[in-house]
Formats: sequence, C-alpha cells, structure tokens
Amino acid sequence: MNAGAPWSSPAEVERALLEQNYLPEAGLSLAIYLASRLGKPLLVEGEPGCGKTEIAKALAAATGAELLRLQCFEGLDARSALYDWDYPRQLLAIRLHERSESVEKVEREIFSERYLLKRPLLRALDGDGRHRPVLLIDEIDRADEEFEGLLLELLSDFQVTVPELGTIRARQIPLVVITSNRTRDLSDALKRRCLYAYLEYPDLEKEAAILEHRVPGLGAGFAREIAAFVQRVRREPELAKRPGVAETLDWAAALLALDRSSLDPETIAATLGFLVKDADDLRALRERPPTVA
Amino acid sequence: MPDGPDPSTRFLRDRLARFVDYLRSEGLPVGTGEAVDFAEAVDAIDLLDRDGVRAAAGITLAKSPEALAAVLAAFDRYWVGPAARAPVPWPRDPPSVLGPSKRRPTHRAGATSDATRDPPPTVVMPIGTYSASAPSSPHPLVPLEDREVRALRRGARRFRRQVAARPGRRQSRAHRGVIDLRDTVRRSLRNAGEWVELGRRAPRLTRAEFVLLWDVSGSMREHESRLFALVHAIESTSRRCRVFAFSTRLREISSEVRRHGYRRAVSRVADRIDRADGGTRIGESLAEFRERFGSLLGPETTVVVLSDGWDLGDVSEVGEELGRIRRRVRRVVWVTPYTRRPGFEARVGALRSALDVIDELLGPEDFASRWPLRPFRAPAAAG
Repeated sequence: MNAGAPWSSPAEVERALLEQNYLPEAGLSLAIYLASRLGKPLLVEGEPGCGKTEIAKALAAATGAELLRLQCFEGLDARSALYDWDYPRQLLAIRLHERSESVEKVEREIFSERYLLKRPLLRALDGDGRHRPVLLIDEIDRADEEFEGLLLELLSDFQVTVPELGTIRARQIPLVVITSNRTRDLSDALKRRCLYAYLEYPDLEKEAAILEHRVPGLGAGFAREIAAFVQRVRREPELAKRPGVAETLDWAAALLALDRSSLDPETIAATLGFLVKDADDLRALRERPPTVA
Repeated sequence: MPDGPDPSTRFLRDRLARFVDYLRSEGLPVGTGEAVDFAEAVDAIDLLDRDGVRAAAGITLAKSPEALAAVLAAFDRYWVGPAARAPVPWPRDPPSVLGPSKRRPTHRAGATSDATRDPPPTVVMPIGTYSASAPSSPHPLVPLEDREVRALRRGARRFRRQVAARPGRRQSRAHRGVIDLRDTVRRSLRNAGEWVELGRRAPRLTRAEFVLLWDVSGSMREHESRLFALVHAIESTSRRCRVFAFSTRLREISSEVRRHGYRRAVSRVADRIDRADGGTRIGESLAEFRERFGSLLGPETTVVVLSDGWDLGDVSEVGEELGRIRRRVRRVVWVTPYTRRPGFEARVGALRSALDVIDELLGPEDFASRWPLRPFRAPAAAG
C-alpha cells in the first residue's frame, strides 16, 4: 500500500487548491496535508453550503485523480456503497456451464471479480497506480448509524472483506474526505479513525475573495458589496436557515446574469430567493430587509 | 536491532504525551490513537511553526467544534507559559452550566510539581450562574429506584412510538411501498387465484429523533433526579437524540448520558454538572441552542423542554424562541414537574408564554403511569 503524499507542505496544498479556485480556510490546508501524509481520512464538519463537498472536488481536480463520490442517505447499505454481485450474469453463466463444468468450478467462476459490481468504496481501493483516488463520502450524517460500522474496516486498514473472495486491499491509500452537517452525532469509532476539520462561514474578506475567484466578471467592489450584504443577512437572528457560500455564489451569478453592478432594494427583493431558501425567512427579509451598504 | 528513537525525538514525544495527559485531566476524551496521530502529525510539519503545531493538535485530537475550541485553548494554556495562562472557557464561552470535572486535580498555591505536568492553577469560574458572582453548587442527582426507572422507560418507549417519524426496519402493510408477494398471493385467493390486487408493504415509522433541553437551575433542585431519569429513558429509546442542560447558558451533555447505564450516567452527569443557583434564562438558552445547534432541527425532530418555567430573563422571549423552533420541527413538548398537581395552572411566565406554541404539556407522572400519555391542556391553549 502506498500513501505517497502528492504535496510536500501545507503551502503546496493551498497553492493547489487556489489553482482550482478553492480558497481554503486557515488550517484546512494543513488538515489536508496531514490527511495525505498520514494516510488518514479527513472528517469535515460545518454548516451546509460552506464548501465541504467542494474540497474533495478541488482535490481531485488538483491531483488529476478520479473523484469517487458516495452520497449518503437513509437506508444506504453495502450493496449501494461497497459491492454487489451481478446476479443476471451469474445466472447466465450457470446456465452456460451447467453441463460442461463441475459445480465447484462454476462456483469459483461466478464468485470471481468478473461478476463483482464495484461500488464507490471498493473502487476507491483499486487506483490506477499513478494518482491517489479521491473518495468523497458526502453527508454521512444522513446515513444510518449501522452504515458507519461498514466503513470502519475501510477507513482504518483501507481494505474490504468480501466473504466469497477474501480481503481486498488498497493498492494506493485514497484521499478520503468525509463530510457531515452535524444533524446527528457520529460514532466515536468513526471519529477516532479520522482527522478533523470544522468549516465556519467565511468572514467578509474571505467571502469577497471567493466571489471574485468563482464568479469572474463580478469586480472587486461588487463582490465586496454582495459579501457584505450576505454577512448582514447571516446575522439576522430569526433566520431558520442561513445562506451558505454556495447560495452566495448562486446569487452573485444571478446578479451578473441580470447585468447588475451594484445592489439596490428592488434587485434584492427580486432575487432574494437565490440567497434564502425558506419561505418564512424570505417573508421576514422582504418585510425588514438588511440595509445595503 | 535499532536502538529506538534518538534523545530529541524521545524528549519531544514525552512532552506531547504530557500535553495529552493534561488534556485528559481537563476532561477531554483523547484516546491513544489520537495521541499517536498527533505525534505523527508533529513529525510531518515544521516544529518551529507554533501555529502549525497548534492547528495540528486541533486536527488530530479534537472531533467536534466544541472539542476543537477546548484543545486550542488548552494548547495555549499549556505551551505558552504561566504568564500568559488565563482562564479559558470550555468549550465556548462562560458561564456554562457544566463545571469542571470533579476528577480534575486541583493545584494548591506553593505546591511543587513537575513543570511540564503542571497545568495552570485552577481558576474559580462562576459556572452556570445568572450573576457573575453567584456560586454554583454540586449537583445532588441521586438514582431513582429500579421500579421507577423501568416505569419511565416504558413511558419513554410509548412516547417514542407516538412521535416516531422515521422508518424503522420492520415493515407492515401499506398502500404504497414495495410489492409484498406473500400478501399478494393471499389476496389472490379471494379472486380465484387471479392477481387482481397487489399487496404492498413499507417500513413502519418507529424511530424518533429527539432534542432534549433539560433545565438544571436551582428551582429544579427538587425534581432533577426524576427528570434526569426521564432524560436518560428518552435518550435510550433513540439513537438520534441530543441532550442539552441549561440554566443561564446551554451545554451539551449527550456524551455523558449516551451509552451508559442509568446509574453510571447519573454519576457521570452529577460529576460534571454544577447547578446554577443564580437563576434561569430559558429564552436566552433557547436562542443559544438555535444559534449553535440549529442544524439539529428538522421536520422529523421532536424537541422536549424539561423545565418548571421559572425564568429570570425576558419571558416573552421564551414563546418567541420556541415559536421559531416549532416552525422547524415536528413537535415541541414541554415537561414540567407540576402538571399533575391538583389545581395546576400554567401561570408561570415562561410556561404561559410557551403554551401557544407547544404541542403538548406533560408531567413525569404521565411517563411513569401505565396509561397512554395524557397531555395537559390549559384553557388558553385548548382547541
């Protein structure tokens, strides 16, 4: 198994992410660097829309590796996450070989890797030998607690045991990014296997810089104006759901598409739905909008 | 055979181990695996970069934002030197309803100790009090009798079934869902073996998601053992349950309650909680909860507030905050120790302000009785 780190310092990680238009929080570059050096998964928690998922996308783009994404949901099981047997092909193989081969031989044949359908977690162990695959296990808090148990062997030893085949070990340790919105507590066993990073909402300077990077053509002044408005919206005490960076980017792109170069109350009222996605919040903000700088 | 690490590496590892030891004495659950990760991380970065080492400590030793703040604060206290050592809030900002662990060693002035093992002198912090100078007192939690605990557990299970909003593993007949072959064959017998109607089954809603907000202020002293037994009973019925204690501030105690038997949980919580004699600020605590833990509120969540409603803060804020929470969750239930007392009326300010927005007002007796839960309905909120 090879855990060769693609970067030799946290500063290199930061540069690589910046090239992908991802502006890492202070400390995140170090966390990614350590995860890559120590061969440990990185658990990233934070408010929705803070750029947790984007980390894995930027890492995959930066390293030229394939991004293997497992979107978690309630009821997710080994068949969707790990592997499944290709039953139709196995049945066909049985029919084809039932007269010509011995039972043992047919059994060996149909329970070989040829008939194994590899899902994201198993595919992450394959690797192409050149790039460390990037595995994104997204929103793990949506999955059942039992599913976390399934991950433990993979995350600690980077191997998966298939009863019919034996243990499959990773050729290269993948870069694993696990995200959670903290809607429930994760098990201690899972957390123990991971390094940890927490993403807060960016401050004004950072958010303005993100806008400039991600929405070209916005201009420094307008980006700052938008960021300042979003910061004020986030400070509204009654909001059920505060806008994340993803919403800010959507809103900025919408404003740019409307050829706006500064914020005015009419434009804000017309496009607020890009920023705020809750009916009560929308109503409250339309009644008492935060001031435009 | 190699002789092991060189002296400087041994010295460094010894210092790191002492720091980890210090974190444990501060009540942070740092395992050996995390300590090894920290040592490996320090090997991988520039040791002269203090900020880098500090950040690496957070990345490897903490597993939640609260623990992250605590590790970084402890790092500053431990490595910066006595002159810069100052009381640092754990985990966020004082005053908190949780006091320092009683297991934490206290340090007497003038006591000699190993400098590297010597944590900063314990500073008496006004924990969980309304005024900055009001003292806090040890928590008098005592375990209830097994019979009472069993009755509360039965009630908690009934309660969970009543509020369940999440599918469990077991399935039952349903109008929508996957086709149930056995039921379909059975139905076909009524139609001369023709498959006219399909039987279907779907998971039963048996799982519930809870947020428990437990008032540990001085006015609850008489009832807190019973209410904690109820907290533990509800927590043990659901894997998705978060528990918070509040008085003038809010503090999560899920890890103290979770995965421990009742008696062990009582001693863990009694060890860690100091009751605030200085009052309760329910509205502010609810606002703090919504601010910090708003992501826990969802359409499947049931929020249970366990409080007598005595409040020294702005009582109208309680109704407003609960209303905001109510809009985002499935149900809000208030449990007060007095509902089954003769002549009970919800006259306490905070409770009265909450009546318009809560779904049910219950007492611990409702959970302990053998009958279905009977919510109390005040005349003002009835209808």
